[in-house]
Amino acid sequence: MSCQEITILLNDYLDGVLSPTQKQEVEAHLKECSTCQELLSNLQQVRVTLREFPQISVPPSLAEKLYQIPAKKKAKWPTWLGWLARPLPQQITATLAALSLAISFYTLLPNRAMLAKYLNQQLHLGYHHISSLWTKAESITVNIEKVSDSLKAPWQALKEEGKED
Amino acid sequence: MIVNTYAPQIFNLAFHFTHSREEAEDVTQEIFLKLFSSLKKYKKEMNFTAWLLTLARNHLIDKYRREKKEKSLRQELDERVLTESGLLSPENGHDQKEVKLIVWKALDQLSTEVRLSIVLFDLMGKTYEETAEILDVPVGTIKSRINRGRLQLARLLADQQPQKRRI
Repeated sequence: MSCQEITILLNDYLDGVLSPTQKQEVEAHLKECSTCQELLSNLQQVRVTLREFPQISVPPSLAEKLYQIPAKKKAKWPTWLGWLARPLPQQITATLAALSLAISFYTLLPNRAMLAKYLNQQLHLGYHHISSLWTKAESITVNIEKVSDSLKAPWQALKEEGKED
Repeated sequence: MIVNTYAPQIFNLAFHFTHSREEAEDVTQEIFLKLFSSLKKYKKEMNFTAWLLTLARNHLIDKYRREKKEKSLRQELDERVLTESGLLSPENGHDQKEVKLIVWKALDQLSTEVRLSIVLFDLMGKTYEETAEILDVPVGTIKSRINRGRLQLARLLADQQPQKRRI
């Protein structure tokens, strides 16, 4: 076996999981090769050293910060607020918010009577404006019908003349 | 409950990975923030420890990639970090301390995946199967990475020790 082949087996050799044949081959090689002996010794040291690194405890200040994370998250985004942020409830929430804003604005206004009078006037003006537009539209429709009727007779006459030719 | 049970594992993984106590504290907080916002993604049939450590591993790899340059500036702090963390205890003999310091520094020279395999298996005592599940690779790959990593550390130790003796 070459040094490269032995190197690959050294960890398994130290774990004691090699087959008897492989173990014999490794040991035979190690007897004659000082480089692989040195590597084995260093590998042993590395394995022991890695296991000796103790687990370090979590500093109390860090633990305290970690305990606060779930509470902070809850405070930041409560469940009911999360539900309100969903697409459909979001639209309902926005409408309700706008409505409540308008109502509170109206209710809390000091000279509410004036605003009510103004709004009433505006509503009446709007209504009159719409009804006058409606009357105009009706008269335009009647005129169009009259024009259309007056054009029907000449149109028929022209069509008949065309047939005779 | 989650903090008590899992904070030590996350903190140790972060510490052995970053080699800095301050950074490990920051990283642990970041990982727990991620954990609480990703809990919805966890399914009951999953192994929670493995799932959490995988989340931690992904976070560490992302962070390490972003901050690769900064790592080289920390090398000189290794001995202080080790002493302050109790990894170099006064009971350790001079040679033992020297070997620990060399191995600790050498860990930083391993590739990210090999280092994570060594940290989880050798330093944190996970099994091959657990390490494979956390790193989401076959058990054979983990065995090969650990074998490779330990041999690399042994060679780095061999390179460093004669130099130290000459000094």
